[in-house]
Amino acid sequence: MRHYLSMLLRDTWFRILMWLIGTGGLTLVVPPAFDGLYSTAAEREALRATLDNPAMVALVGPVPPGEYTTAVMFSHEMLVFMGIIHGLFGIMIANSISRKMEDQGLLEYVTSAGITRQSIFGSQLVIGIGMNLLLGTVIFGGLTIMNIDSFGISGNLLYALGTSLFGLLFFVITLILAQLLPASEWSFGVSLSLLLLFYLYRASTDVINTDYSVISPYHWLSRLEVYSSNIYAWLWPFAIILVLIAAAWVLFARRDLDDAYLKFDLHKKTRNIRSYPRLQMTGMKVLVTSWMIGMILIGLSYGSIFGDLDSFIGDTPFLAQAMEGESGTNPLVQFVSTLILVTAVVGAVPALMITSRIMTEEKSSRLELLMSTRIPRAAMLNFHGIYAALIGVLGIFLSMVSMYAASMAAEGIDITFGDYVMAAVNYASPTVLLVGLSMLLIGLSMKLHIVAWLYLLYSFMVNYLGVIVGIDEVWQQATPFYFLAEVPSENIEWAPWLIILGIGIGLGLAGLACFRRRDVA
Amino acid sequence: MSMLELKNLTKTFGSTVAADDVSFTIDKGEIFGFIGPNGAGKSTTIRMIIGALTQDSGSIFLDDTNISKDRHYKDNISYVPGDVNLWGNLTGDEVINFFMKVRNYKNTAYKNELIEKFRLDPKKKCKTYSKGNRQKVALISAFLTDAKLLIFDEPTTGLDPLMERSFHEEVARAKSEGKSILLSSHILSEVEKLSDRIAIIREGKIIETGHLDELSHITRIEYIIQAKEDLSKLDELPFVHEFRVEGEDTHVLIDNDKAHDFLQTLYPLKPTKLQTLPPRLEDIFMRYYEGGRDGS
Repeated sequence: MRHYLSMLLRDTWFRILMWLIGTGGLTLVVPPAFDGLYSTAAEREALRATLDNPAMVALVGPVPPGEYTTAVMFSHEMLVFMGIIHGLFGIMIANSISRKMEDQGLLEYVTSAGITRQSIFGSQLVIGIGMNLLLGTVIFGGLTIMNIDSFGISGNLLYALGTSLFGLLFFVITLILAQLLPASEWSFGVSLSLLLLFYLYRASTDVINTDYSVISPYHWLSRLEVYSSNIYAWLWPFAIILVLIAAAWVLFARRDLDDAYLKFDLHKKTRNIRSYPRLQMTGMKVLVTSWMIGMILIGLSYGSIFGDLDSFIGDTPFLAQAMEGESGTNPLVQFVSTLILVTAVVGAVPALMITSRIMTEEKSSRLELLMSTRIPRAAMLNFHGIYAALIGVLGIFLSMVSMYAASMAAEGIDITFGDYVMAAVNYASPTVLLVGLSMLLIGLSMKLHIVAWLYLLYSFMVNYLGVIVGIDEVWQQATPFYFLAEVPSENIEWAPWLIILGIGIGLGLAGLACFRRRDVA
Repeated sequence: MSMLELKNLTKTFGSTVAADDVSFTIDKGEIFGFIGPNGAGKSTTIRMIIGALTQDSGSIFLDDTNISKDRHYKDNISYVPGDVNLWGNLTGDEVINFFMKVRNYKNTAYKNELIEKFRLDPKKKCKTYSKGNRQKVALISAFLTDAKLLIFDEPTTGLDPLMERSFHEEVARAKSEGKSILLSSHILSEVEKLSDRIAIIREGKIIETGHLDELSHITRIEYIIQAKEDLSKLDELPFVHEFRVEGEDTHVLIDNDKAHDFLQTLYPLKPTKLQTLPPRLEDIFMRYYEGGRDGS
């Protein structure tokens, strides 16, 4: 087992290291930032009041009881949200060293060299436990060394343990799915869906009644009440990890390699794939469908809380004031506008995934095979761009429609169906801009494309954090969203809308011109 | 008469010169073997022809037209890459149909014949195919075309000998229809069997071009001999290389252009067994490297 483990480590250490730096860094930059932002108890109480509303509870979980210190604020705003990142870490690594390796024939290969099933499974487990332990140590160590007021050692330890166990839980869940499902795409897709579904489930039950949230592991993190009561007993539910490990082992030991317990034999009929667009649309069906469902769910979950928003904002002078803005509009509508803005940023994710697909073709050298035929390269990229923009806008539109549908019963919201549609129209142009940027980067070099994702992440952080902590406007000016009107609280402004759209189309065309000329990898 | 003409193609990646002043011509209806060890520049040259790479200098003519001036030149090309990757969720049949549509080729009878001939199960998803099966899908797709130039990059790695023969038959059939074939390989015997002419590439440079028999001066043939007399004195002759005895058999490599001298020397030794093995690429290069050393 030592040999196999060291081989696995050599294969994965860099990815693990990147995750450790990224996740550890993301966690550890926040406490000092919070410490400076809200220095007085009164300011923190005001923020706590801001967060104690259905929309924010849905995003980060219920507000913990007791004094709202900087540390409590940190654990409240970070723990559930970072759960997604820790879970993703577990899923990605687990899938890459289990089902993916099996799909590539590597497990069969090492088995033939005399490596036993026990060694393979044992090594996978050691990596899962080790990497989460390491991440926990980094976070615990970092929090303790920074020694910020109100961050107690016991709380630091509990935060690190909670997140590490959460990461390990999803690592082990992925291992089980790797045995049940027939391919790595499946085990990855299903475990990722579980990660998000548990989050969405908790988001709605946290708003309705937290008793129902207990099923979701995210809620266990909330119940730890890190830095206030430090309830270690809520680590106990994570003991289910042991049961899952046993189950994963039994499932792995009792099946043939490359076999699975659940098999799907879909589409027996030969599909008629006549063109490049058809080829790609077939390949992206799952991606597009799941994202569209996701956008509908986001719209529904936001829309369903609008009814409670009204009384809440009325009772919270701080928030009412923050949301009023210069124009003196209805604070509720202002708040909804901000939520729509955040939804629109999320809606750009599937668009970028669609443009990125052409790089998957290139990396697997299928693009080379395709372009040896009469299909022009630029036409291929052009299809990805147009399809990405269409799907991106469709996603925003669907979330607007479902937001409207879910909020129809809510009283006191003066937003018509037309307003929602106009909001979707409003955010169509930044979507085109992001797609255009993505096309330009693809045209220049595959390596540069990460910039598009970073820019989107930046836009999300600025517009999401902007709501919570009131970030400086200068940061927002670097995103296209800043220049647009906030529909529906304001009327759509066509001049910036058209300029952003024009820039997007220009970037896309430049991308096509570059892509036609550059060497294919 | 020329189907494809490469003129002084050069391509560098950073400080590596992947193709260095590469020139050759393929005539219409000709099978052209393109050989060299892995990493010699075969794929780089081919990828310039199909437009995946842009050359730093030099030009490519297809049917006497510079391809940079003909947007539709790829209508006349059908290509199989060395490492075939397909869309995992599509079946072999779907991939073949896709390429038929893209190449606007409608002869489904020929398609069925090829599927039969290569013994492909077309209803399976590509991700379940072995390397050999993926290769078959790509080969079948490439033969289903009206293109005048077929380009195969290492086409038979992954095929079993029976399938290899089917491939050779189809290449011969394409030739008989007047098509030109560019066949890249590091297996000399395969190229030798099929090609009318060959080019040898090493470290980005074309070092020889011509008919294989014209090139015979650079090849060596391995002979396996048994004889009544003592064979050990063969080892002293200048055109005999790598003399070794394995059990009853004596193995020697003989310069191809000295076959006459060798057989004359052998005859008095009363040979009882004489078997030849085809020249291997390694032997050619061995000879070449020796030549290079002598010259320097």
